[in-house]
Amino acid sequence: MNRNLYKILTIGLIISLVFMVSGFVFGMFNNVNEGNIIQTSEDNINLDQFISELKNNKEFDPWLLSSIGILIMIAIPVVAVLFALTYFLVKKNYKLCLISIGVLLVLILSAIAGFLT
Amino acid sequence: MLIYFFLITVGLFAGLIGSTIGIGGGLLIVPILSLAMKIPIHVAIGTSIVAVLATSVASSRRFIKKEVTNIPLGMVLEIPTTLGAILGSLSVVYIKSNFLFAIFGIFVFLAGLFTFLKNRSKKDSILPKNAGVSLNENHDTNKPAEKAHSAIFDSGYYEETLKKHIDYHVVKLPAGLSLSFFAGIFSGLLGIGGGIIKVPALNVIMGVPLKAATATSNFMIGITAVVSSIIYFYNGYINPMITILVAFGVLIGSTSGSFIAGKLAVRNIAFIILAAFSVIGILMFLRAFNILNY
Repeated sequence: MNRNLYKILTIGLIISLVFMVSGFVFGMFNNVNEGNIIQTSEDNINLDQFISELKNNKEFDPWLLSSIGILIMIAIPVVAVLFALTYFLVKKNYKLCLISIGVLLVLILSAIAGFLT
Repeated sequence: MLIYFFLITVGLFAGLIGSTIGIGGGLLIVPILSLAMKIPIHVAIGTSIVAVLATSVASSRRFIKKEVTNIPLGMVLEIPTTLGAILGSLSVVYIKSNFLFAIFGIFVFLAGLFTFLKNRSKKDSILPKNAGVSLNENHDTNKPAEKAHSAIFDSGYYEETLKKHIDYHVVKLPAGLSLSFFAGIFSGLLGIGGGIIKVPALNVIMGVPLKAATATSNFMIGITAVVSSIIYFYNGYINPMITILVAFGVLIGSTSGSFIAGKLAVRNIAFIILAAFSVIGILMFLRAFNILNY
């Protein structure tokens, strides 16, 4: 279990960093207005905006690439919990299965809570 | 270009100092971004939590590979922790900046005091002194260890420094669950990992050896940070540019810090830690009451 979990975390981290760094490097070449970085309200991205940009954006947006990297980073522990759940299920350790399901349910709850706010 | 450099330096500094004195980087990222760079505190907290998440993913890998992390225990403690983190993160959406500055100021000051007291009387013991002692240590005595809660959370790992396998009982699970809930609230509310609460809870209260406690806490921090990150992302408190640069700095800083930590006598700089955290706490507090409104 540990070895596979290690692989999941490592691969996830690498993919996430590749997206983040690529977005950043392309963003630099696209002359991002540095003055706006601190006046962050317009540069921040929320999930609805992210999804609509992903659907509608015909042009290449480097910051979207970075945001995908951040989302992958956020998803890594979720994948780890899913893997643990599968492992416990295969090993027929139902107590730990229930605990993993509990963690997953709270993670889903947080997504719902975020959406409702 | 200067701003890129500055943001990476903030992350580097926070990661380096945080991992050297064992508090993580979040407690330093938020004050620096919000006070020195005038980034809105909500965004500073959002940035910090993603940086904390990245650090947790990167550092927990090593412990997981060496089978030091107690995954079942981490999972069960994550249920109250993540619930607390939801509560903390949702509070941020409704709490005004001034109030957040005040809470952060108090927390930073207390964290500084705690780190000072901990390091001043630090004795480098690997095993916990309370009831959840190692099974190996307990074999030769007639005195039973305090009743373990459940065998499914008992675990063990190979301690390289002692060159032996250490098994341990997990005790006082309800107390650990309660403290984890509070760690989750603070993590979600302030954008910190919460290791400052989790590690002592696991080690001192639940009888988990320090190395396993640190590893388990590290693993937990990643999952807790997911909850907060999702809520911050939904509410637009995550700026990709700031987040990436700071997270990058923290990743490098915390890796270097963990090497320095082994060589530096933190005890000797305990007063500096207390002084620095007191100053940050006071500045945050002054900012809360608009006294420091430059």
